[in-house]
Order: sequence, then C-alpha cells, then structure tokens
Amino acid sequence: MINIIYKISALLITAVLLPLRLSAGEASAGIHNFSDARNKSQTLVSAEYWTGNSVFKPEEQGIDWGISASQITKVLSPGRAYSVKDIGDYSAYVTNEEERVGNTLDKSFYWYNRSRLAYVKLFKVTGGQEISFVFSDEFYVYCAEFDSSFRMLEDGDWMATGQKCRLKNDTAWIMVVFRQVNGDMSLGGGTDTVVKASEIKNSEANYIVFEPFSYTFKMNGGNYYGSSSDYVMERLGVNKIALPRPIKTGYKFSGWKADNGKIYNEIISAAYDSELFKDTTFTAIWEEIPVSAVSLDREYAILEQNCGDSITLQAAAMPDNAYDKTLVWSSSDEEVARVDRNGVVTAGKTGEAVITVKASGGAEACCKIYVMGFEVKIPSSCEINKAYPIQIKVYNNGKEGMTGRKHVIIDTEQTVAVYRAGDEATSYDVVAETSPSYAGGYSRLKEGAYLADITDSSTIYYRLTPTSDMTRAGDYEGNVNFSVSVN
Amino acid sequence: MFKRILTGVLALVLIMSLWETADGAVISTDGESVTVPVKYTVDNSSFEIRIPALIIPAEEETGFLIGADKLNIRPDEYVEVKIVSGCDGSGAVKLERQNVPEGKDKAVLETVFSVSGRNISEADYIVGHFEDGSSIVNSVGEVTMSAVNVDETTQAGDYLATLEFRVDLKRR
Repeated sequence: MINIIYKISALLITAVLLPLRLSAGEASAGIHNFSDARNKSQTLVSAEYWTGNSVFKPEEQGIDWGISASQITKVLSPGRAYSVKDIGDYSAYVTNEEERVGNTLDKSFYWYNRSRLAYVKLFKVTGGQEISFVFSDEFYVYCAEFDSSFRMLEDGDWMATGQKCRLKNDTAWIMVVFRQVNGDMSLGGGTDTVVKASEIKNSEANYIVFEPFSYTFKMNGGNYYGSSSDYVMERLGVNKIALPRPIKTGYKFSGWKADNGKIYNEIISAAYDSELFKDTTFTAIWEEIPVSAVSLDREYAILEQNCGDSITLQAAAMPDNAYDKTLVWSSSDEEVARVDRNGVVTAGKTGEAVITVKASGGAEACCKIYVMGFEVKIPSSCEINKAYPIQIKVYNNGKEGMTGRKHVIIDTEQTVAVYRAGDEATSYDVVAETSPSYAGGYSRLKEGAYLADITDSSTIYYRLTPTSDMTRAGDYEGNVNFSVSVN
Repeated sequence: MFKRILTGVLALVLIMSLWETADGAVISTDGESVTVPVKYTVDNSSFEIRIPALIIPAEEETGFLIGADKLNIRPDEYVEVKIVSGCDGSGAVKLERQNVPEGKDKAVLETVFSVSGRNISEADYIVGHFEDGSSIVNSVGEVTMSAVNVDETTQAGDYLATLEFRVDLKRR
C-alpha cells in the first residue's frame, strides 16, 4: 500500500499555506517528493504529523485541504459509467511547481505536482460496490473513499486501467487521482512525468465505471459445460476477461461474433474498446470440423484373381470429432479391383489398382492392390517315361516376373496306376518324378510333398516312371490329377 | 565349326523331340484341378506258333494241333493261322500218289479238314485263332482230319499233299 493521500495533502497544504520550491529532480521522484521537500524546508511540520497515517483527516489533525467540502462537486447519480472529460475545464496550469493557477475550486480542484493530478469530485456510490477505471495505459488511478464532508474514510491503491476496486464503506464518496507513468506500467515504479489533463480529456477512454456491462453469450447450437442456455457474464469496465469456450459436436468453435460484427476469441483484453463498452450479445460461430487426415490399415495388399478373393480395408478419419466423417471409396481400375462402400476390395483381373478412400474435405488415403494371378500349364496327357514341362506363371501386378507374395501350390499323386486297355487285370504302378531341368536330376515325388510350391514364375519338369518293367504289350491308361491352389 | 553347329542343332532337335510341348490344360483358378490321362503303349507283341511239320492222316478220323507259345500280344490283337493253299473250298485236302511215272494217272486220297465240327470253308481257311489271355491255345487251333478213303482198290504207295499256312497278327 502507498499513502498517496498523505503526500497529496502535504503538498496541498504546502501549496496553500507555504509556497514550496522544489527542484525538478525532486519533483520527478514522485511519492518521495515530500520527504525530499521536507528535508529542504523545515516549515513542513504538519507533514511529519501525518507520517504513517494512511487516513487523512485534516479536521482532526488541524490541517486544511485548502478546499471545503461545499466547494467540491458531488455527483449523486454517476450512472453506469461516468466520463471525466470535464477535467479539461481546469487545464490551465503552469509547469513550474512553484505556481498554481487556474484553480477554480467552485466545481472541483486540481492539484498539480508534475506527476499527479487530483480530479476531485465526490461520487456517491453504494457501499461495497465494485468499480473500475478506464483510462489509457499511460495513467494509473488512485481511488480513496470520503464521507460527504470530504473526510477521508479509506485509503486506496494505484490501479491500472481495467483493474477493479471494491469500496469498503457502505456509503462512500470517492476521489480519483491520476498519475502518469510515462510508459512504465509497473505500479509504483518508473519515472513519474507530468500529467497531461488534455490527454485525459481527449481520450476516448476516460471513464469511471460503476456498474458492470452485461455480456450475453448465445451458444448457437453448442453448449458450455453441458448447458446450451445463454451464458451471461458481467464485465466491469475494461477488465480482462476470458471468454467461455463452448463445444459442439462436429464443429470447431471459431469465436464469438459480437453485436458490432467483430469476432472475439478466448480473451478480451483489459483495453478500452468503445464497441464493447456496453451491454453486448455474442453469438458463437461454429465451423465444421473437416476431416484433416484419413488413414488406412495397410499400404498394399495382394489379392488373387478369378476366385473372388477379397479384403476389407479399415479406414479411419481424423480427427475423431470431425463433422462429416463420411468416406468415399474408389478404385483406379474397377476391372482389377472393385471396392464397395464398406471398404471391401474384391479382386478382378490381374493388375494393379489403387484404392482411394476420400473424405468430403479432400483428405484421402490410398492402398495399392496387386491382383495376383497365375497360370499353370499342365500337359493334356502324359506318357510314361516322357518328360513334360509344367509351366507356372505368376502375376501379381498383371505382369509376369515380379516375385509374388503368395504361394502357388501344385499337388499331384505320388503314384498312379495304369491299366492295360482291354485287360484291366493287368496294371502297373508309375511314380511321379520331378526335376528343375529337363536335362536330368529327376527325383521321385515324396509322399505328402507338393509337385511345386513357388512364389514366382518357373518351369518344372514332370515325368512318370514305372516301378517295374512293363512287358505286357498293349495300351495302358490311367489318370493323374493336378490341383492348383494359392496359399 | 560347321560340325559343331550341326551337332548342336541335332542335339537340340533330339531334345525337342523328347520333350513334350503339346498345349496342355491351363489352370488359373485357385482350387481348380484337372485330370490328365496317362497313356502308354507297350509295343512288343511277339508270339510263336507251332505247326506240325508233318501231318499224317489215317484211315480213321484224326487231327492235329496248331499251337501258340510265348504269346505276348495286345489284348486287342489276335494271331490267326490260315491255310492259304493245299485245301479246297470245302476243306478237302487231296493227297497225290507219289512217284507215279509221267503219263500215268496219279491216284488221290482225300481227307477233309474241319475245325470245331465245321469244315474249313473257302471263306475262311482259319485253322488257328489265338488271343491274349490266360489260355494260349484255344479251340480253333485243333484241326480234325476225316478218315482217308482207303479200300482194297486203293493204289499202294506214298500219298502227299502240301499245305501252306500263314500266320497273321491281327488287330480287332
């Protein structure tokens, strides 16, 4: 706390009773001026009397304000916000601290100490009321409470614009003192400079605010802490306030649109804004939350042609609270791979296709589909002791030669019987043999083994060999089965 | 150099001839299967037919056998033994008296060949029919000769007829 009244009154008395000469350097010291002046002038006896007393009661202390209560304007109904533009009526002052002119005390009085300007009017307020001051940032305001006889009841404190002060007395009259801080916003610090009453007068922000404004926030379909009702907030002067942040499923809150058409978001700073210096209605503005990204559970998939091989792609649209998470599936080549609205991809012919899932906002994700195919060329008939090439062509993108990721399995019997035509009582067993090359290296197909289990195109050689000499003349016939599967 | 090339080409031709390249079935569907016939021909038919070197008719009905040994023929084959000369259209075989001076009549004896009670006819002179099977000799191989017509007036001497047999391996 700073006992500003102490200094004001001391200097006031000095000004009235004893012309005081202060150096410019001393004057700039602000609150400490009096001490400096006191040291230089032993005439300020009364000042010492008040040292340490935060409440100035001149009538008890035998000190005269130099102004009587009857000379001070009393404002009985200051209204919600009272402008102090009339401060300009008393703007003719010299800058020499030794002089004091133009003081028309019939309405109010000004006291000038190079850095403080007392704007003395007595506003009748309700006890315990909260008030605020609205001025430009260059000024601090000091508020003290008096009774109707201009006796101080309660000392105050310096406040920047927008700060609030709750009055302590049931019925109070207040006086405000301006202090210019020359850009130093720290309370109680910085170098005091000359208060320019004209700047206060000409400033748009020159109010003492007695009643808060009502800010009504209309949710516009959203809700704030579960309530969709209007949210009402009071704002006293230009204090900084945090705006409510409502939510609405599928929408992004993009601010509050005030009556003035401007958009406000998050906070309203403690700065004077004439358009908000009144009761204001704000309406929530909602913006659809677009799908910013779409993801798929796989980057590629290999399907097999001609047998309805299918896969279900899992897509996710982000963020989770996007307004419209509808996804549209498409295929770059319907003949290769079809996709339905549930992301089920079905193979068509061999080749490559890109499955795209797209959100309404344009975000998309892709999965490449390789439709695998195979062709296994089996001899139309087999003759014993003769080698046959079995050609296996594997396609996984419509082209042969790329390594497939699925196995093509060819199964056949290890042993088959051939019967003599016209004499089925005569038969021989023949066994399957295979070799990677025609030239040789045939080996008997083992029990349970596959004729081929490959992932890429190749040719194997197959032949049937009798287990014993076939001496009985005749035509022999049998059947061998080949089955092809993909695993 | 030319020889080497020629050798290579010939080797390739040989390989290609052994390597079956005929278009086969194409499987392009998962789970599909095909049944491929396996064929093989054992082409080593062989047989041995026994025909008597000398057939001697008698004054009473008698016969002789056409036999088959080591018969290894296809089931759809058979071996047929026919008399292609020496037997007339009614199955009669005429034996002429030998050593008859020229200019004199040659006496003739006759015996009739029959198979399974049926005279060998002009239409078929088959005296043997052999098929692959458990029985190498079948009934057709048994030929019956009727009694030679000999009496007190028959001129003495050697009588001879010459029969020509032909053996065919036939396919049904």
